[in-house]
Amino acid sequence: MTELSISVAGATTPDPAFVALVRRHLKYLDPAAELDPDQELKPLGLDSMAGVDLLLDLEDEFGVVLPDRYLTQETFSTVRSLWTVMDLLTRGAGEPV
Amino acid sequence: MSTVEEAVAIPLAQRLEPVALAQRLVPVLAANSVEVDEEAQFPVASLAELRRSGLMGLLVPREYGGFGASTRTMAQVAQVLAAGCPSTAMIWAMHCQQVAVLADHAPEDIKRDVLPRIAAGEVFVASVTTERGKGGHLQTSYSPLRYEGDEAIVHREAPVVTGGAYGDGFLITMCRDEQSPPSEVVLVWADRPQLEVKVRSGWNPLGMRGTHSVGATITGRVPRSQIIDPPGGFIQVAVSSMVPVGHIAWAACWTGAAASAFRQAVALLRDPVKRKGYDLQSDLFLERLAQARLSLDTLSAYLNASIDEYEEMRRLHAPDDPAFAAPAWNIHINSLKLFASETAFKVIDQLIHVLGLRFGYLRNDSTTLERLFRDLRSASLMYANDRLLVANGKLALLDTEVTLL
Repeated sequence: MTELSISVAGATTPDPAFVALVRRHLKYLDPAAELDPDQELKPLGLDSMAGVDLLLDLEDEFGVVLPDRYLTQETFSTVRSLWTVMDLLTRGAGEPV
Repeated sequence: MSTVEEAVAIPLAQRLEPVALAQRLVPVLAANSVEVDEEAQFPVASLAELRRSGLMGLLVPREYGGFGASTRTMAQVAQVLAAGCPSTAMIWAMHCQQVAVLADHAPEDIKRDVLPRIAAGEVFVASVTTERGKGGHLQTSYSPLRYEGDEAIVHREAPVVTGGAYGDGFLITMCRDEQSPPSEVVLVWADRPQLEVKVRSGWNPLGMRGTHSVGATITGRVPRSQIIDPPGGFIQVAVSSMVPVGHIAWAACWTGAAASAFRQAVALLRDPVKRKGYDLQSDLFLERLAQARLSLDTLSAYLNASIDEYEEMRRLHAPDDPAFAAPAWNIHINSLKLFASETAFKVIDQLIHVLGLRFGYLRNDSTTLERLFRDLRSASLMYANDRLLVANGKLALLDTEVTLL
């Protein structure tokens, strides 16, 4: 069982550890550069294949399965969009409308 | 009522069905294929016949002077041509792949300029997608375009360009500009006179020796208007046209080559003189022949099912539709390449087993199995299966419903 080390619930700003997890999958992001939560991830290297690796990491970290309807370009477009979905999924019943 | 003179004046291409046209060319392609293979030469003479036939414009829409043929017709023609010369068929197939990309995604100005010339047989399009250091990954480029005024400057090292020394036009993947990450891929159309193409490597491969897939350094300048950068980016071009048409066209070439091998084997086994060395009453012999036939039929079935799915996708969705990103669709079309490349080679191997040394393994006057074995060995290596399998493994994790072809 993976230990949940990143707390999402209720936070409006993505946790630094969450940002660090996403950063590991952005092969074109300069390690020294800032990552704005609203920055597009695709130009930073998050293509469809890298997206699968990130998905698996997120599912491991949060102990949830991302339902198919969230497997969209919108979900994976920015750190904030990912954070919002993970927040919804891990909060309470974890099944947002 | 049309006179005889008028009927003669109608170009041949408009009087015959594409498949019938291709069948007429097979003996010429076959005759040229021996020297093409011996000398590892680009099949200039066979390509000239294809240019004259109108088949270079098979996928050019009718409004631009082409046949406006379907993907299914393209696959049928590829199968016919591959029976004559697999190298020539593959060169033609890759040209068709580029034509599909132009027809589906190029701006109107480029289409008006280029497509009629392709249909007239004047322009053979070579594709430049390979690049060192990206492991065959289609969706990246580490070669940025530079700009001076209204011109874009192309400088591109390409380790493998099929027919690179003979292209009349080139479709080249480049990175958008020096500031963009390698994932920002655009396509550049360039006519041969706009480029300097320096061939950097020789060409002496095991098989598909006519494809003359050389390494080249390509430099030149084109107007910015020759950049193809549709909404959805290059990834959309790849998933909606370049990959499906490419995989279908290649698989059709391999299927056609394998089917021609089987026809040669059956012809030999029906010849009362030549079949003397074989025991046609042997259960083992018949089972081996049946296994090869089973491989061939399953290959053909998967190819046809893939064409059905692609034509249905195209009927339902425009080329810029995000539906082409669906994991199941991408798994199916990648699997076509994987399955066809392995199975077509397996059929040749099985037939060599059936026919043995004299009419299988050795060069002989009755079959071309020795050459086809070398030719089809390349199938799993071009657009390497190893990498495609990893992609399909990842995509399989996303298709939780397991949507089957």
